[in-house]
Amino acid sequence: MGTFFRRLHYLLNRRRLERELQNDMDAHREMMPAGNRNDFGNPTRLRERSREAWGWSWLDRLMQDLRFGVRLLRKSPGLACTAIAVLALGIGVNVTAFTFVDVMFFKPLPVRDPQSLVRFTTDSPKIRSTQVAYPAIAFYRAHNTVLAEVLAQYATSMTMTEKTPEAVRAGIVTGNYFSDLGAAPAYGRLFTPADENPGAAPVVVLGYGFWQRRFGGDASVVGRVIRLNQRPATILGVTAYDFLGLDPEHGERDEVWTLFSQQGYFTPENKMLTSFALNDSGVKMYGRLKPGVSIKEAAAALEPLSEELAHDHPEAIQKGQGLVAEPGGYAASFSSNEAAGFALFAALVLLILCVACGNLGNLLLSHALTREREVSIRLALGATRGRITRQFMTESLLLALVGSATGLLLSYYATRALVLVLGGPRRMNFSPDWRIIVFSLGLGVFASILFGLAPARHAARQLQQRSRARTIFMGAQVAASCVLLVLTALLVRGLRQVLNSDLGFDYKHIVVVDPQLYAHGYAPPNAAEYMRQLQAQTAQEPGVASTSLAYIAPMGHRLRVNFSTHAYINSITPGYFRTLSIPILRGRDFNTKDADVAIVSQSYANKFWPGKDPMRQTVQWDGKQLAVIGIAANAPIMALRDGSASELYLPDAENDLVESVMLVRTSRPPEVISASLGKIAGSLDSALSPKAYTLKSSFDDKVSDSQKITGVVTGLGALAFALALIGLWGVVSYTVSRRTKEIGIRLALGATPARIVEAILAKFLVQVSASLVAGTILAALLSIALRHELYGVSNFDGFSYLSAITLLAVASGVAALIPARRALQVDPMVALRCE
Amino acid sequence: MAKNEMLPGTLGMLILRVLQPGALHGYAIAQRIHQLSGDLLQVEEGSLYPALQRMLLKGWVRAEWGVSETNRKVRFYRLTAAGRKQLQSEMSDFDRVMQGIAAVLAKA
Repeated sequence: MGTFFRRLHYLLNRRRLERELQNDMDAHREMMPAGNRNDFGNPTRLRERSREAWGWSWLDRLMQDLRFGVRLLRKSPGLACTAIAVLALGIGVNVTAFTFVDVMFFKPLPVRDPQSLVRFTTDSPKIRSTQVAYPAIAFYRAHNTVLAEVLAQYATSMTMTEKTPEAVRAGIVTGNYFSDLGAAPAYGRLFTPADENPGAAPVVVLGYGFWQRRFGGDASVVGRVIRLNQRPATILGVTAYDFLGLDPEHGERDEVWTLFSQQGYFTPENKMLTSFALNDSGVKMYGRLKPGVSIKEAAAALEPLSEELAHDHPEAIQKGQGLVAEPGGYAASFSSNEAAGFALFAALVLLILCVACGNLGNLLLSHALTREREVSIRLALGATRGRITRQFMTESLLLALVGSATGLLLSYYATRALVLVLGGPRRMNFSPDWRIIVFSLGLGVFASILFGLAPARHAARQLQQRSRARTIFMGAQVAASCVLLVLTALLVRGLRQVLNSDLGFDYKHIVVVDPQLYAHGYAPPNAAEYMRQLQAQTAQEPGVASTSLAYIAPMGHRLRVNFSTHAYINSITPGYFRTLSIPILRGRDFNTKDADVAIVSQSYANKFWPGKDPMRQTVQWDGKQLAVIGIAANAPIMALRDGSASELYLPDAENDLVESVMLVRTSRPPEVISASLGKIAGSLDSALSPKAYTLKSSFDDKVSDSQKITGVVTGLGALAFALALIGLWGVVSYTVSRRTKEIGIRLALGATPARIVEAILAKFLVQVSASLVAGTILAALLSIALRHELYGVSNFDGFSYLSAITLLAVASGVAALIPARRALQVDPMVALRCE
Repeated sequence: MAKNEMLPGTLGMLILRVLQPGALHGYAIAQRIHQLSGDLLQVEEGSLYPALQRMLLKGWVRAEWGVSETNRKVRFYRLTAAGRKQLQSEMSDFDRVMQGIAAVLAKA
């Protein structure tokens, strides 16, 4: 220990100590008898040896190399800029990808103590849901011993009336939500558990953005009374501007916040507080672990409670239905599906780094060869080869660090731009934290080894042209570009298929009108009456060809699936098939008097009754046997990519109407009249603010995800392609310039240009072909992870592979021929004389 | 090995021993070793100062300012407690090795 401090002391006081040593040695010399003075030895050598004793020589050498490296880069600004640019791109892309993943999955949400938060979802033999029934949550809350707090959240919409009714996005939360998460208000106050007491005044909290937009940031709103769903409520306060809650996607957009306990007041017929059925009252459930309790322990402790619930409410809760617990303090969590996708993305961005390093490696190899003289002098002066290697590695490290700093800067802006383009919770903090900086630097070091080691060793050993490193660098670039281009081609093809596909129903002429009756406390008889009037009035509108009601709107956000049979279920009124232009292949549509019957899709019939006559079969549903009265053509309303989906249609029950929507087939372009259709629905009940949208926009939404992914991969592919081409050009130019003399001789001896090109580029051709093969194989392997993204296109689609390979081959050919041609135009005499 | 060189590895021990009675500056150390050995051992100046630096690093000697015979400010090296311990240990190691060598030379 003492030794270490003494060493440190030496380092910090070097100059003084060395002067003192020098003084000692001078004094010693003086005191020696005159004749013997030369025995003292070389003072410089002595000083060096003395210095070495302190063990800081490595630092000296490092500083020396760094200073020299900086001088070198200053002298070749072209090399420096190119290298830094290439590195910045390669590293920047990786850092951007890492930032995204980090913020979404690994960075805890900005709430109090995120590590102790748990997210609960429902799992049962037949359904999996991200939600839990609210009364069940209340039950868990009251009877558990492992959770310090239980929180719940739900996003819905309400109508706020100041002068005219307008729809607002509402977040419903428990009384402890804000206080437990440590959220502070911007103005006024937020909910507390006391606000949940029966008889407490109805209250509402405003979201910051909404408060700014709608109330102009007026601080006097606190205490004002507004009408929600026609009922007065007092504004308690405003959330902080950066409040996201536990569900950033909704938290960011919610405009008002109300309490679960007061839903009976705002929406009297709402079953949310009473029904144990997930469809009626499913909301998001979170918990905070008591200190010392692990997630597993908490989940286990809640199991007996789940059993009790299932036993007490068999009509709403299935046997075996229970809670699944996951860490709740993060914006998103992994599911195995997405894990493959992420691994693929990681591979892709690493490939870009490969291309960048390959490029850089060749660049540095060429540069190292111009420094032969310098290396020879150093070797002659007594440097070891190890020393030279270390020197070159240090220079590469310097480049890498500057490159990664630039890449970090680049990715800062790129991340912001990407969030804007791709959409994501905008207010999440994407600024670099220490994790990202460390990652960026680490990547820089890794890259410097990749591209710097070979040139360093080559310089030290003074190897000449024939080196495998050059081949490997170039080959890596070509292979990596090949992979990226193939994947791009696959995704583009898949996307085109999706956009042009025939879904089995006409989505281009449909308007969906959603009055959201369930949010306004409609009882089933009222809902039936409302819907009847709505359909009657709408049918009389010009431009309306036909209407129908359905429980599930196609391509919407709700799903009713039987997971074991993989059948999508919908309750519909007569006219559904006509409205959506789905042909009925056999039998007939429902009529108003039908009961205990069902219509199935062709795929359903083929799957469950192969070889038998489906019209004689029955379907088991809700304890009854339903006779099949019709077969409809396949129309996968939810499953754009699920080839094994089938549909089951049931006649609408009165209870379903509260949540049903109206589908309208228009003879005019649907965008034109969707607004007026919405107004009609609103005119029947002024408390409602119905949504009206076109199915086409739903379709575009669903496709937008694929479009974004394809866009990103295309961008990466283009980047890799450009880098690889530049790299190829560089390599061929270099090879040609090295062999200028040989070309001159061949020309002088009478070879034709074609033969010369052939001779020079033959090896190059073989290398590129081999890389293309390797790249194709790698692409094939990686494309397996893309399978679920590729709609209607096999991940081994020959056309895509071929087009990518051809593009790369042709581009390589051009990149190679141009420098070669230029060499041929050189005068042979000049070529012969050139060294 | 030339006539006036000392056994490799023993320079440190000799320096420490010579410093045991009191602090000396560099030249004095070389002189003392030369004299005490009866002019047999010649300290190579090229080894002296690096050896002193090593001992400073390990904390076996300490440097302090003094004035030399030529009226020049120069550093004197003084043995520390750790240095004394090191000296003892090196001397006993050396004795053992010498006994072993002597035994082999006497009998073989």
